[in-house]
Amino acid sequence: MSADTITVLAPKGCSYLAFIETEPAMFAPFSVESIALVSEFSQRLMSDSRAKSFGDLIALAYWFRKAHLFELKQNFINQNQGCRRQARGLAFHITPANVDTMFVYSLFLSLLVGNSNIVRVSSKKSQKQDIIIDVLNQLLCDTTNTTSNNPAAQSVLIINYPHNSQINDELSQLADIRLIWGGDQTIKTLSQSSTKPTCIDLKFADKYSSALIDASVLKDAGEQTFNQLVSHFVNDAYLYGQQACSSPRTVFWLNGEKQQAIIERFWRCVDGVLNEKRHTFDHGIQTADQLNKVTKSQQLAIDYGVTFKSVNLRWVTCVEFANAPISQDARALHCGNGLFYQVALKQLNDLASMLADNEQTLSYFGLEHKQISHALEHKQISHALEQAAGAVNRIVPIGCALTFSTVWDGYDLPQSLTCEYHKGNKSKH
Amino acid sequence: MNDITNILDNLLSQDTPYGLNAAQKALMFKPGLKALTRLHFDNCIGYHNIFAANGLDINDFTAQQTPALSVQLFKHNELVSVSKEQVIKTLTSSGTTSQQVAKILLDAPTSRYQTKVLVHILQSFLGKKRLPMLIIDHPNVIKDRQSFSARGAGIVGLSTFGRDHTYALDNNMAIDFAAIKGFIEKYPNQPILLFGFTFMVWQHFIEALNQSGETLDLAQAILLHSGGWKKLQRQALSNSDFKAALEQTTGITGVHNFYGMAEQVGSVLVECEQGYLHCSNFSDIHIQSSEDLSDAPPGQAGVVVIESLLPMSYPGHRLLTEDTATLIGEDDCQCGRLGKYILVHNRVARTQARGCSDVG
Ligand SMILES: [Zn+2]
Repeated sequence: MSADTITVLAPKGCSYLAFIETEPAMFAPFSVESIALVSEFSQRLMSDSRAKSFGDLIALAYWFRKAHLFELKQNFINQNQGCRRQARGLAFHITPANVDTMFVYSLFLSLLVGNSNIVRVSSKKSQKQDIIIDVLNQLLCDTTNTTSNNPAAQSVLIINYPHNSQINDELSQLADIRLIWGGDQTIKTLSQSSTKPTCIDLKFADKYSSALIDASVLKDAGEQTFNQLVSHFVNDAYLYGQQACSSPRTVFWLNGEKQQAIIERFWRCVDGVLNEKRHTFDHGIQTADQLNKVTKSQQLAIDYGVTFKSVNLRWVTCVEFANAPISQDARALHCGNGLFYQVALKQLNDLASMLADNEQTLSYFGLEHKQISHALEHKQISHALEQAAGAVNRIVPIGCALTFSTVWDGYDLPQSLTCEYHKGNKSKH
Repeated sequence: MNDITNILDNLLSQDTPYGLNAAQKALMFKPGLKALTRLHFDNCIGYHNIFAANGLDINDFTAQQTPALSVQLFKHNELVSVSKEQVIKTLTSSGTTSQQVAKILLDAPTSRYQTKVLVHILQSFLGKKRLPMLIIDHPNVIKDRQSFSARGAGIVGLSTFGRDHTYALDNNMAIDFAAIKGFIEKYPNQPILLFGFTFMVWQHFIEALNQSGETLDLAQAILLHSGGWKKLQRQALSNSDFKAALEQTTGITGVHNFYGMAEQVGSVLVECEQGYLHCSNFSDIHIQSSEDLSDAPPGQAGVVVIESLLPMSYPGHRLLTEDTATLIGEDDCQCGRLGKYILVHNRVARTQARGCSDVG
């Protein structure tokens, strides 16, 4: 009965019931078959004319290029010297609506290490999602090509269904691993569905990301470097309407107090780039978003005494906190769509105390990775005593905040998606 | 505060609330607005913070620089410029888009001027005498004080303009023909006042009359209605459709929609004979671009910033609303009223909930 409300998006014409009643096909990690299937997808997407206008689709295709797949394979082998790993069985992916390419990363990494996969995607309208699904269907359903006969093609089912606890229950009962993207609320919802005792969950909770810029370095940077930074920053922040967990929401300005002019210029240029490019982003910037930013920044002024640093700008709203660290309540007010919190840092060592437990990505400019991680070490150590999670998960240059990596939110995905081999460990439905 | 009450008293002493041209109005409105900004800056810490956040100097700013507070703020923050003991009345607005309710706190002077200004404005349309009043709602709407709705509050507020209050609907929301016909017979050939919320008048009066096939002779009546068109937007009902259907079923030609919000006492824009909503001497309107909220050129639809000289107990004198409207003109409406006149369109569409947390 639950099958009625489920729409199978790929492979087209595949039956949900038939899929879940079939023993999941499992492969050795990075098998010839799975690499062939994924790299074929990469090639097709790369050459798809519709994908060309979407930077993130091209980035997706590029990430799964054959050479990178072999690199991932080699890393996996190196990491697991002397021990054999195998797929867990059936992976149930609950993927987010805010980043429309995320479900592919989740799916393909799982497929590459040999799992069978059921992916629930958002029913939100998305041109990019449609293109991806279409390319997948070409791949999985076209009987004239070799990939549809690839046994790995039998290990993918992409569905959507309206919020429905019964289907969540059913799929959770079948799964050997659940990948729960979509933040705290989704995790809470899915925790209500019971799973097999052996099933493990990878939970991707609500996260918060920041950028760190050395204002003195920026001041001395050439025109080209400056413009490139602005363009990278805009992409990191706006590609998904500042809704991606790794998009920066706070900007820490090292040496910021002495360099007000360059900070103002930075925001002016960000605003200028947005003026040209805002229509190319997922949601654009709508009236409701603009009103929302007025409300939130005024609330922040009432509750936290922030000052507005973007009074004459059209698309950017920037509020400065004099009293850092920014509280969790203030962070909770963040509404995305071009609202930035700004904090001046006197010294790099102050950074650690400014970060919260759910910090995900710190993107940077004008510093070295080593300097930052060193400055954060103290935080990591003191934090480890209280809680294993927390602290910054990723430190990447500005421009790479949205770049996917196999380690995400502290999970090494190829490792987590597999388990140590032992005989008879094959999952049953 | 004397500055403001002096201005209000002066405006109330005018023959009509629509008698000042732009230059005359600015002489009183701008100092009034600035005096309110100063008042709230000194007495409301939240407002003080917002003013300061904009980098403004309280000793050197213009009326136009007065920050426009988001109407949404009143749902999250209690903003008040008088002590708790001075608050005599709390207005609430039931947001249709949010469960959270705005709380507006009035002291005695603000509440007194709210009544005076409403009387001053509506009397210019209804005359000074209280008219027999037919309310297009059911009697229970004001009886259940526990769940006193915004609708009930609106009806109670308007009731002071009428007498012999009669309800046109029964408790099942069906037309009470006996009551209406009795009322019409009691007051033949004389003006009567009809009041109701726009969607109630449409759904439970005009449409119900259409379906019943009956017509009523209310040609002498004046209909005041408010509450917005949001609930009727799905039916793509325009103001002129509304008026045509009303005339056909009841003969009513005197129809005045009005626009206002709980968050701002004193700004009641009433529809004139030409179908435009007029600012009175007590309120003003600015239209901001729907794109970036900068000043929109005349004639372009945008988001409404609304100003009122009345809010003395809370900082609601200049608000950024979520409504869109077009400024049609100023001082030159064919109805003869001076001041700005506008057409209100609709609410700004909310973007769907986004963020990590929606797998929708
Ligand atoms: Zn007029």
